[in-house]
Amino acid sequence: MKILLISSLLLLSNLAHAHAEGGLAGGFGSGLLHPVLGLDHVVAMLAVGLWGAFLGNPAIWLLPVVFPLVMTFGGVLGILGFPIPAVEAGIALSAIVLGLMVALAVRPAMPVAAIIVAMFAIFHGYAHGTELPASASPLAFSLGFVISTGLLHLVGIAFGLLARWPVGRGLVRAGGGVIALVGVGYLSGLL
Amino acid sequence: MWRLAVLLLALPATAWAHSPIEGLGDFFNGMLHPVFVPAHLLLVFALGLLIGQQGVFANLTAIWSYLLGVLIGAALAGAGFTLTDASIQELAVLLVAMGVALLVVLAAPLSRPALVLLGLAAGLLLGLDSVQAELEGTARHVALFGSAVALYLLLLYPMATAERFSVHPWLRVGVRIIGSWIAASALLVLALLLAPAA
Repeated sequence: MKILLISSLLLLSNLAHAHAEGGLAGGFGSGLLHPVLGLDHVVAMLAVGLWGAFLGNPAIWLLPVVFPLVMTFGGVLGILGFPIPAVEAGIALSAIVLGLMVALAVRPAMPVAAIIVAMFAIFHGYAHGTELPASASPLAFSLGFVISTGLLHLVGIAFGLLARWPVGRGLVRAGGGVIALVGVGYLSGLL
Repeated sequence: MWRLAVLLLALPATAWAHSPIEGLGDFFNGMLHPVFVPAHLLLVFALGLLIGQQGVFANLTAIWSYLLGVLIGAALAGAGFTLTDASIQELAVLLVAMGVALLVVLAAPLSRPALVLLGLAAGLLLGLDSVQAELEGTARHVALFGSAVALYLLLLYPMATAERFSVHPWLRVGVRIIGSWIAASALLVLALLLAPAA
């Protein structure tokens, strides 16, 4: 009898977990996690938000609006199989350059800042775009990773808003330095 | 003890994957249809944001034209009319979603007739694409009516949000950011659908 009861309890396993990566929810979840699982992606996105907040208006809102659209262009290149060399190096370089911009408090003209960010957005979009065809639900996956990227920008912006105060300004610049170091770690293969 | 064992065996854990659709009935099944078709959700959300951004009370006719479009589209779909095959219809939905989302990003004032036409076209497209091929007869019509109701209700949430958010510059930027997310997602999937097979 006990054996029968134990066998029955074993059958109560949550079999639905086997489908966690499939369907709409799985596609959205995978997309949402994709930018978060790579530290190089994470720090570069945080740097975009930090720099936007550091530069103030209109960069603080223009960069998070423009970035997903330009990133999409990179994603389209990835989907179409257009060869872009050294994508991972480009992503690491984005963390270095954007981190240094924040650390050194560089304040270029808005179009220059937008071009720098857009250039790196293509590398990030390309990396996501190559994953898209393999996804169970490409639309849910793309929505997930675009939202995740945007939320990382918002985290960067929230941290960057500390730059309004002298102490916070130092913290934000130090944050930029850490981001650049992470980028160096990825570029050199240490991370 | 035997009864307990039999009861434990009968617990339908594996059935969860499909039960929300199977046991719902045609009307609620139809209501869930736009929720399970991401392309529809994107278009409805983008249109809702656009109408809210442009001002709900100044554009009530756009809401009515959207509802009219949905009902006409659903009626045509129920009668067996289709514009083209399902994949092209999905492509059209995504294309319109991307266009509407880009209008949200630009946040430029639109004329009332333009918004009315946009609402009508979006509604028509969504209604036509709401048919569930596996349903026939009355079940198909009931499901389509459920989809039409859901498509209307789903428009109200983003619309009300965008209208509420119009009071503060930061919140207006938030609406534009969501618009850019929708446009980006729609463009990526359009590229995937149009890309030549490897």
